[in-house]
Amino acid sequence: MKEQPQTFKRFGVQWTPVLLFLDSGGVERHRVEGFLPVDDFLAQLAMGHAKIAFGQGRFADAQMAFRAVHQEFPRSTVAPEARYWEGVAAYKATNDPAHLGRTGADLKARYPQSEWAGKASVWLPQQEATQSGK
Amino acid sequence: MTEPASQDGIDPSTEEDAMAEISWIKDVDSALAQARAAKKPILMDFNAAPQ
Repeated sequence: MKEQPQTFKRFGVQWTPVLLFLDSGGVERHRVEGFLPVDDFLAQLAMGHAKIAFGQGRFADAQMAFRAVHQEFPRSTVAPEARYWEGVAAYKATNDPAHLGRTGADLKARYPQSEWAGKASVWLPQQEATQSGK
Repeated sequence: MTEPASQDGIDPSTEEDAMAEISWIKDVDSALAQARAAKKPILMDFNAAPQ
């Protein structure tokens, strides 16, 4: 931070450690702030890869990359978020809204306490969403 | 501080090998230019430890 204070300011970094994932155009697509245990760290590296694909509009690639995150690191803190974005990427790749419904149901079943299950609850049939209390 | 990542992304299974081979670029603008030319993403590592 003392070595390159202008770089910290340029990228809005106020604390360390921080990892930024930029696409080839220099656009930030993912940010990880603070220390993480190994599995969460590895999951976040994979998440950054997926977010870059998504940000570039490569939705089929992003879908597979997000899936790899929650399949390889199902207990990581980022797994529910990866499952959420897998569903979004699948929808954007195919324009089939059924992907969103399946994503909402899967999140409700696997990660019911996560904020991502709450965010995806809007994709559930009305009765299910009401019963989930979201 | 910055490094253009591999074209096919990051393979967590080879983390130790990859860490041993990383050649970090400390000139951000140079890294951005290299990434743009090579169409590769960038991983930026901000830390307070001396290197």
